[in-house]
Amino acid sequence: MSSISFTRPHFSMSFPTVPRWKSLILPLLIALLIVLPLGGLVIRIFNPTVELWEKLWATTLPTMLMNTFVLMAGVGAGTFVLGVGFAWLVTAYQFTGRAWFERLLLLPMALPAYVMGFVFMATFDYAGPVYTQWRAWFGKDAWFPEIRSAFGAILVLTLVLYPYVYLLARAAFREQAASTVEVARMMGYSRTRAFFRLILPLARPSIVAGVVLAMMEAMTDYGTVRFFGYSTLSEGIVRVWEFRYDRQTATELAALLFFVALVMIGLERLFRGRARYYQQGGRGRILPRVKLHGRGNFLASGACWILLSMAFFMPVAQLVAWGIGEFNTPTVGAWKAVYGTYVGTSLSLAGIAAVVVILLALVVAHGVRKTSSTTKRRIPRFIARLATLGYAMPGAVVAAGVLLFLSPIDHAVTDFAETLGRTDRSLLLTGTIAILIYAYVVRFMAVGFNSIDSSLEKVTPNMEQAARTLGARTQRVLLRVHLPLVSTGMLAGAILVFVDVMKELPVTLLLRPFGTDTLALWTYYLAAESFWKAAAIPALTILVVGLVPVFLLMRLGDRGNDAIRT
Amino acid sequence: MMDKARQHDFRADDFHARFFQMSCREISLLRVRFDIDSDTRIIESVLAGQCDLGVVNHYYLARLISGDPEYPIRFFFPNQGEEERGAFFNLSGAGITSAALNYDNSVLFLEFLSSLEAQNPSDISFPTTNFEFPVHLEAEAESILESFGEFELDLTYPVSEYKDYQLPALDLLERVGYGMSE
Repeated sequence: MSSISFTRPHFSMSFPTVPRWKSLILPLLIALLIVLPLGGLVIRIFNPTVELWEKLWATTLPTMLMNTFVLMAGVGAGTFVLGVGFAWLVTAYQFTGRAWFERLLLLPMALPAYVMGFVFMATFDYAGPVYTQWRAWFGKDAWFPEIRSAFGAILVLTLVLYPYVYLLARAAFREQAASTVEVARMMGYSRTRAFFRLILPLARPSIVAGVVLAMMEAMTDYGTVRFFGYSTLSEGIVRVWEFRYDRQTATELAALLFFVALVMIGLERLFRGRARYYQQGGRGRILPRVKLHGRGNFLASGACWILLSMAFFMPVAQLVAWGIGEFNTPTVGAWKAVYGTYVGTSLSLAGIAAVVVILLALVVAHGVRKTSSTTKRRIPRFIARLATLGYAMPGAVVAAGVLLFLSPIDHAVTDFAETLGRTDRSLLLTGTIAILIYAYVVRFMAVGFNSIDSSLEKVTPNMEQAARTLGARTQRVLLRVHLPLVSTGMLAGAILVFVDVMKELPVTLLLRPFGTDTLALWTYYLAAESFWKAAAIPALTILVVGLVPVFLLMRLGDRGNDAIRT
Repeated sequence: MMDKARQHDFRADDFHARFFQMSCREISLLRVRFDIDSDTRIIESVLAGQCDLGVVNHYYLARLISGDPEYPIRFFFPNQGEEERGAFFNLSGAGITSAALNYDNSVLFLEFLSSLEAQNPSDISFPTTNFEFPVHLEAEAESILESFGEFELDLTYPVSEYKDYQLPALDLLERVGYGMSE
């Protein structure tokens, strides 16, 4: 034993041609590139404009804070109940259509929240068909839930976000349920009791991760809360920026939200603790499912059907109906004239962002892995954490930070270009898509990093050592050994980033150069003006692209949880 | 539900009381909501019977009427009495940024946009296709707009001063919670 533990460090020590700290330079630079814009905001909060905060506190801030917390709490509770409940249902019971539902329940992930939001708004508000029919049946004053409210926003976000919890909880249940239930049954627990007393607590790390992820998504959401007139911090920043042109206030609000996001990250670590219990369970053994009969079978299938209809089939059917109507008789101008341009812009922005993110993520992940050993992993892990910080930050925060950071640099660069004889006075970075790509990198680095990092796990030190023994240099090892092994992770990461950028709203809204319109913005503007039919066409286009990673997740099954863990 | 509470706030808010006082004596009968911020949806909500009156930009209604000439919602221009100030209006403007690459042609283009040729009704005219009133004084309005009839504009403040009231106006919208639900 002792000789093994001696020889391993000896081996890895004898090979490096570059010292450890040198391999960390590039990852560190990339991490700085991501942290600096966010760090600029932190400085702001220590130097607040007092009168501005007094005014905010006297006007909109209390509502925004309250709404943000209500929304996060509501979405947290909602996704917990739906995610955990349905994950347990499909893991522990056998009922009609179970195998199908198990995968289909992931479908709502493909719908951007704001698309679901405007479909629900158009369908369930006072002028919408459902409420109108309701009044026809039960009279003018019959009670009906008010969709333009906290309830509506929470409902929509819960329906879109529960798959995060579902996916992680299901994986955790599968991994630990079989042996745990057996032991519990031997000790005389009923299955239900075993679930509440043992399985649920043991799955806590995964469930907490999923719920926090959903809550963060709710906190960072912009489009949905805008449609529902539900003013959160995230929405407030964009509103102040867009309508008041008040970047000072927007920036300071963003700094506040930055801290809320940090608190969330802290809470997640606190609740999840160091434990990852579920990995200790017996892998590979699946819990025997209890077959449901009669009413139980009917209720289980029915519940899945209702959830799926509400969260996917109903909204998509509505979108398709609108889309067909708009296709045949356009209501807003001629969509055909602009469709190609918007698709082109969306695809190229998403494509460029995906490539840049994946390349940078590869450098960071590779550097971090390479320099991590059993004893020394603090610094590399810390760098990785910095590089992936953006994912917890709302788009509005990232946009404010990046603009704040890039503006002075941009003016210097542009002035310099002018001394070189450039006659065009337009700004080189903030006036072009460069700033958008930068902000996307900050925001979505974590998505790329996690995909690549989890696939790098497959690359053992032995492989590198073998390659190096055969005379390959570092670059060659990276190209011929690592790259082929991580290509799946790179592809998955690229697809996820691509789709995230396609759906992205606040960053694009705030930072896009003149005349740059994406499918997401087109959807947003049309829906904000209640042109539901016209909005359906870009929304469906986004949906189709969004389905790709969901199908990948369905095929990946259990392993899929790595892809969304932040 | 929230209508009652809103109605109370509404009476307390003297700006809005003054705003409607001169045009609508039956203010106490109005059910007021501020939580819908899409003009089209406001009109549709009036149609559905959720509110009696909606404050919108005229071209949203014109657009709906152009799609359905029988559309049952009609216009009502406020403050049209003898001693009253006339209806509020706003202008769509255009400008050239300091970074414009082609200043001379930009000027020519804006001059064209404001010319009689571009302002008179046609398939490509901006006012016509967008159902806006032309800014060129001699230009004719689109036929649906003509059907709205004559009305007086509120000229209390010069349009060039509107920008000075942008922030107070936004403060007011936030105070009454325009476009915000609870």
